[in-house]
Amino acid sequence: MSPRPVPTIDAEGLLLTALSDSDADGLLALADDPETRSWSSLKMVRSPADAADWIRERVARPDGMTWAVRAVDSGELVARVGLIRIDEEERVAEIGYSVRADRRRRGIAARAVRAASSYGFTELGLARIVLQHAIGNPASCRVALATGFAYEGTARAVFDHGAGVRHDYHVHARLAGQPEGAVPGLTPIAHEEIPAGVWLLRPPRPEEAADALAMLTDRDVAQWNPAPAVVDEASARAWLDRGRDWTAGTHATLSVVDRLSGRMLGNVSLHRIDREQALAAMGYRVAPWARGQGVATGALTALAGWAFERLGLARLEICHAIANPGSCRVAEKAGFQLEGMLRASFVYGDGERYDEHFHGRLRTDPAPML
Amino acid sequence: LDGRVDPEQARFERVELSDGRVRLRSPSASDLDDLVAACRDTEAVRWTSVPQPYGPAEAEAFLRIVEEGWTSGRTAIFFISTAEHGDRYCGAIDLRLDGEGGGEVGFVVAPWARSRGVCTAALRLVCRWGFDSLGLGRIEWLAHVGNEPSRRVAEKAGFRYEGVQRAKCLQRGVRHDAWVAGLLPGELR
Repeated sequence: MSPRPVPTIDAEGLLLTALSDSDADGLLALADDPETRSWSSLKMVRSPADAADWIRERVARPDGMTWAVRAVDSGELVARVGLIRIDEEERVAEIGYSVRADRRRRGIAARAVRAASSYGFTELGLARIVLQHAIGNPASCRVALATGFAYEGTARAVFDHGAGVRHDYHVHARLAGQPEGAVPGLTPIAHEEIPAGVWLLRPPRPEEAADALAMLTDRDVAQWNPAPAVVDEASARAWLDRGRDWTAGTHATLSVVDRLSGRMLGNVSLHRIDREQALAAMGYRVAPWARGQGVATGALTALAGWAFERLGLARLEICHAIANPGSCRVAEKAGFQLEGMLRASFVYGDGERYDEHFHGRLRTDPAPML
Repeated sequence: LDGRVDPEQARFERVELSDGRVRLRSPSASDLDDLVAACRDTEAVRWTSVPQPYGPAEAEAFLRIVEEGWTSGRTAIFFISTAEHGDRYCGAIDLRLDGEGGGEVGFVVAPWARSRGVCTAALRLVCRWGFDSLGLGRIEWLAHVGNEPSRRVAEKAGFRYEGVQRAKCLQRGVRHDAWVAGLLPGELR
């Protein structure tokens, strides 16, 4: 099979043209960025020769088409977009792209993705185009959701970016005949930072990996709030990525950080979020270096207030093992009334089922006195 | 679903259950009229979140929910029938996996099948299946506070009362407190 011809496309102030040998320098500039190196197939491009190889390989592929995305006025290369793994029998393909670091947040990715996928649907007759991205790359998630690529689910352990951990990926897809605008249906929760007195709640960040690992391997945390998948810094980063990924709308996980030092002191989450029933469960962890300061109570209270106000939830629940009385005090202090005892209701870190207390706090309950 | 399976990934296969008298089966199109009648019954309306008004469109939508549940392998919804009712629809019972090695049951009985032990038998069948075939470590029952008939059925099967979850259930725009009870392997009667 011979390479596919790549036509020039006019795309809302951008020009998509066939990638050629003369783009090697432009492509190197595109690749030379930590974000691009983390998430895209350009990560191996480190020299003009690498760039030329990458271009030759892409141009020669019979199952792919790659465009250089240029500014109309200057003609300089600001991004690349491609359809890969084109299967005309099955009428499916995958789309990928990168935007030069100094040209981000201008809608370039969205315009390029719209133009290339429109070509795929109308000229190649595709029925389905897939857009996949690592869950630690929320910028790509925004692009996908803004261009009509509906979130279909999370594929586990898809790809190793080089650190020895296979990362989970979102699978998004757009079908022929579907609108190219924003996707209805899914209710992703937008990232937000929530003030909590001297602390700040914020979406987890990869640089917290060392502290997260230390917290999760602490004996108390490992028993009463286990995350057994975390065994080293790489798996801790993957765990932070999952916490940062609020797309499904079923959880919002935040790190608790000290406003002054910026150090992570623990984490707090809403999970099992049910928007229809207006319910969620809450959980928290406190790092060994931050105990006895009221971190858990402060973080729970701030996040509960946010959940009532911003998500419109009516009831929040906390379950904890009765054998872990510290959590009972935290729940009561944060305004979660003790409602009953569930027998053998959860398997904890040691693999045993424990009886739990369940506590509930309603939107209509009085706020706790802190 | 034995101990080697990650409970988050656990799924079940389509199944029918029977104790010789009570049969838990898949729905069929011929159940539609009975389903509509049972979901218009005042007790069903009072204690469950069935849509109101309830007509053939709601019944057909429910059959699709049943199908999606079995396809997902996470929510098993059975139709209850008995020989003495000529295999007619007598109610529905469901078991939902919680992804953590436990399950939650819910049930509704048609007015023509009440007070004959049909529901208790159905609950025993589902719980036996949950413990023996699915390896569940606990099954939970929730009902609106005051739903004594449901509570009697649960207690007959061995469930033990554990508390009240305030404002837990949203029923057609109104929140209700819920009783919670739990059943552990070995407690099923």
